Amino acid sequence: MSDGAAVRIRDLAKSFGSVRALDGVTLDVPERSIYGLVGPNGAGKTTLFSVVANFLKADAGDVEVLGIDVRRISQLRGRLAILPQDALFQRNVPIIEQLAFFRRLDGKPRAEAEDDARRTLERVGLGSYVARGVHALSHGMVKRLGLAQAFLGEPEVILLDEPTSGLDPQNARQIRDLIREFQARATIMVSSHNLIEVQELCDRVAILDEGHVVAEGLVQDVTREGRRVEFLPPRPLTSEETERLAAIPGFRGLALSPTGGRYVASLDPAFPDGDAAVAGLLRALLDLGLCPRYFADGNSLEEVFLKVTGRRGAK
Amino acid sequence: MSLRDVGRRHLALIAFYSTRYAVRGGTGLVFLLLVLVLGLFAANLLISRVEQLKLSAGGDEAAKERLDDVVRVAKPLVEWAVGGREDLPVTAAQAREGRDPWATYLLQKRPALLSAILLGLLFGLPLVLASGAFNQYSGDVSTRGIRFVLLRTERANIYFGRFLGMAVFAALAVGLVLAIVVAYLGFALPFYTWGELLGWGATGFAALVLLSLPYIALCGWISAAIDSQFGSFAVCGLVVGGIPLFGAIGGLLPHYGKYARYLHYLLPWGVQNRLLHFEAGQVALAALACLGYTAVFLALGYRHFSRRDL
Repeated sequence: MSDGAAVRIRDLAKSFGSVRALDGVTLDVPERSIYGLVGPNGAGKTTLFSVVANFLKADAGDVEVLGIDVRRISQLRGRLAILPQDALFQRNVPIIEQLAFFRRLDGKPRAEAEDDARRTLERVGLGSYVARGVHALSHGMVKRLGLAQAFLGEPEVILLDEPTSGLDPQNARQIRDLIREFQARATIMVSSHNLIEVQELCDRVAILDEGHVVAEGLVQDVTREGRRVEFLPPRPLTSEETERLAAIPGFRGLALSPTGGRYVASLDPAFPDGDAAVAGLLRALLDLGLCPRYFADGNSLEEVFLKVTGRRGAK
Repeated sequence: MSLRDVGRRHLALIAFYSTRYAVRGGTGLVFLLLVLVLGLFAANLLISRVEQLKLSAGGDEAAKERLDDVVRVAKPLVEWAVGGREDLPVTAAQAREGRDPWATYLLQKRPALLSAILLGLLFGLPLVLASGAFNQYSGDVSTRGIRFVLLRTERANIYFGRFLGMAVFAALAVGLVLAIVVAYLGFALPFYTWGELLGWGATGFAALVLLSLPYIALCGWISAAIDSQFGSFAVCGLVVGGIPLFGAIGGLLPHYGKYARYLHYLLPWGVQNRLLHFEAGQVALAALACLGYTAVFLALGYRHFSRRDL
């Protein structure tokens, strides 16, 4: 691998009959990063993961994981793991037996495989369910079991296809914490519909729409496209205060947001130092004795998402 | 990805676990039950008639003298299975006397009852195999559960490991049935020696195991090509059972009937009974044919499985 990319995708295309699921997708996932993949339903996220894992054969293009072409997937054994979306475990087999089987395929003897499986299950909070079958687990537990199989062993690249979908906030939080833990030793690609989660969790993000990458980069860069500041003062601004804030260099004006009494100040793209402008706005607010209850710099990922996907993917 | 990627350890692990999961999931148990029902039903049909003869003869000693009656019980099934074969040599004298050397061998030189039971199993086993081997891949492909192992081993190991697991499980099931039948014949009916029964039983076991291979491979191919379990089950049943059925129906046609029997050769139906033939050459040819069918079905199935989206 030449450029520190754990996953390298070039001009990837995949069709199902007349439907083009992926069309010329190109992206690099840096090592030891958490890379978010977002997009409306049917955008191609799961297809992309499936091609990277070689479950699906690409029609065109190249995918390399850790410098190895995924068509030679056997060379990645033990180094690449995936939480496939909607894949079902054996219903009537104890979960520890299923995970121990996977570990034995990695070359571990039976006792060691069972120890590893038990440890990983404990790590995802399923330590007291090891002898149960999947039928005895809740939806959240099955999701955690899927994560356990993905984290099993020492994978260097982990693909997580919607790891928190359908989970309650507490479970989702635990899973995000687990993912962060693993970032220290693995590159993680996460697809999700939860844009706030992706914004919070990921270093980089790609937005897929109809099989195309429509935005890609560091999360803060992507969300700073058309940069703006949104803030909520402790009380409504007077017209005098509004005029004063609107006159701060670097902004194109100040407008009351349609919801919740928030104000939105859009940065002038021609202004050379956006950060100085934002700092100036915050200082001015404090000088007015207005400590904002909420202050956000940049677009939310959701706004960028809606913009680049033509507002078709609204949740 | 090629056959060079096949690893013995992974093959054994996948064979073991897939069979274990099949049993726990139910399809393996159903298959085992069907094999037991088929074998014991076929055995019971014949043995119960012989037991009636024994009673009417007034005891074990008298029954020994009435071995001809036992042969008479087995004869219809044996002659139906091996008789009337235009492609096998029967001399004019034999034909005149109604004496087919193959039937004679099975009825006179081998334990007749066991021969009849084995022929019954040779006929019924392919149909039972279709209901046991249809789910080698389709279920896990449809639930995507197969994806959990795809990154951990080669597709070749998955494909051949599951075939191997099914073949070993089928052999164990057939072995269990034959062990019960041979033990019962040995203990309950004083017509044959243990040596005769065990020897012919072992031959029959080998024949049934050989026969099971091509059908398991065929069902594997179908299972690898059809994601739906029900679809795979239906197609396996239709192909395995349909070919002899269409062959038989085609045989009734006025002009082309004689060609219909060649339909049987699409699958081992055309050769499988010769696994119990009196000539070693015929047995060897039948065995080779079974292995040949197996190789072809395995190759076609693996080719599809290794290239398809999973």
